Amino acid sequence: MDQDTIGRIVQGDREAFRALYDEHFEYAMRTAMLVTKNGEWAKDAVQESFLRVYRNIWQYDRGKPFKPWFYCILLRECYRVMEREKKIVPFGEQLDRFAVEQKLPDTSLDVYEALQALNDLYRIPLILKYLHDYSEREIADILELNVNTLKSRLLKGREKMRDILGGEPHGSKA
Amino acid sequence: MDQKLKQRLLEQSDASIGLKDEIWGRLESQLDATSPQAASYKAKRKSSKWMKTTTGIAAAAIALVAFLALPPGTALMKSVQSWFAPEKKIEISVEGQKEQTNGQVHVDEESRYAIYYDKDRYKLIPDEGKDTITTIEELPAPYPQVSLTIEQDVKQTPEQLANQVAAQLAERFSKVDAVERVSSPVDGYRIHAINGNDRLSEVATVYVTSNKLKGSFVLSLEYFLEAAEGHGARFEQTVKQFEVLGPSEQ
Repeated sequence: MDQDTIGRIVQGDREAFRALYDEHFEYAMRTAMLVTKNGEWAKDAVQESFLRVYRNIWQYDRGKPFKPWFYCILLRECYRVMEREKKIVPFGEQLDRFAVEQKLPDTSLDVYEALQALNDLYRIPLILKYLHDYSEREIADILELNVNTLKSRLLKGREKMRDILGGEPHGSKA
Repeated sequence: MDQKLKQRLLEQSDASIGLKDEIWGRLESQLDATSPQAASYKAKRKSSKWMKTTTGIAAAAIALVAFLALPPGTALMKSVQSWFAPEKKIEISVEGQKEQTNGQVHVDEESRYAIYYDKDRYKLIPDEGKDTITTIEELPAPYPQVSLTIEQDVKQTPEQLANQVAAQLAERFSKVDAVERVSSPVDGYRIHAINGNDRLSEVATVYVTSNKLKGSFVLSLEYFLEAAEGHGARFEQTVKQFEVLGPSEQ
């Protein structure tokens, strides 16, 4: 995202904001869909995130990359929507929607289902890594974590996926 | 396998990208209600109001310092305050990395204790019988609020109180660890409790230490699992700055 576009959005330029929206919508929507596991919730989270970006763009530090700032907002909105919906969804449906972390190997699951069965602590860093190909530094910035903590979560997340899938290897542990 | 996972994530999120115009339509109708400049102006006005309030408080503080400096009759307050620098740099270790924070002293004359806390991140709210250190701005939803609360029980020794605290925590938390004798960050007892293992699960760590008389101080750290290495670690370092003043010589 170039500085000129940001500057124009700060001045209230709607076309510049549409350009930012066009550039970031696809991966924002994919991320929200994977994090919330619900199309309607993802739509709410994405809409609210872009609205927050528009209102608060003047707070964005232009000396820093845009994506970590944006994805911080997006993930917070995803959590907020998930928490809000959890409160009004009947308990039985909650159990279906929020997977309990698997303890036993299940060979009928594929890698996607194994990932989505993890706790958010491991699931979300892995989504950011594999969907976006972000570096560990970038993911750590988005999640406001120390890089070593992030590395440890990625490693544990992969180990847990391997356990769920019954020992199937998942590429490098780096 | 890495490639397979990436492929599956793309497949599973494919359906969502056709919603671009629908969401823009919903979004655009809300943009009219605000603009970045309006939001910025509003925030700056709020900040200016805050500045005025802060200036007022600072002026009051200067007046108080001047007042304390003059009459010899208030020597006790002055002397206790003067044991502590009003502010000091504190080196702390968070998530394995060292950083310096700006510590602000709080001296509680009545409860006879002093503590330095990170004034850039936290505020101290005195309430009846207890002081609470919490974030300056409330954490956004869905994060639970985080705090370090300092209370005194003048009647019970740390030994007696530690077990009572553990029993009280057991009513609120699904897992309470056994009471542990510790020498750091304070000399006393530690009780750790947790409610589940999600990233937002509540965590409590309580320290019970002597008030240098027959009673105890209870320092309760409350945060959530994901904040253990952040706010949790910062509160632990804050507890290290806690100092009991001992009985008044008045």
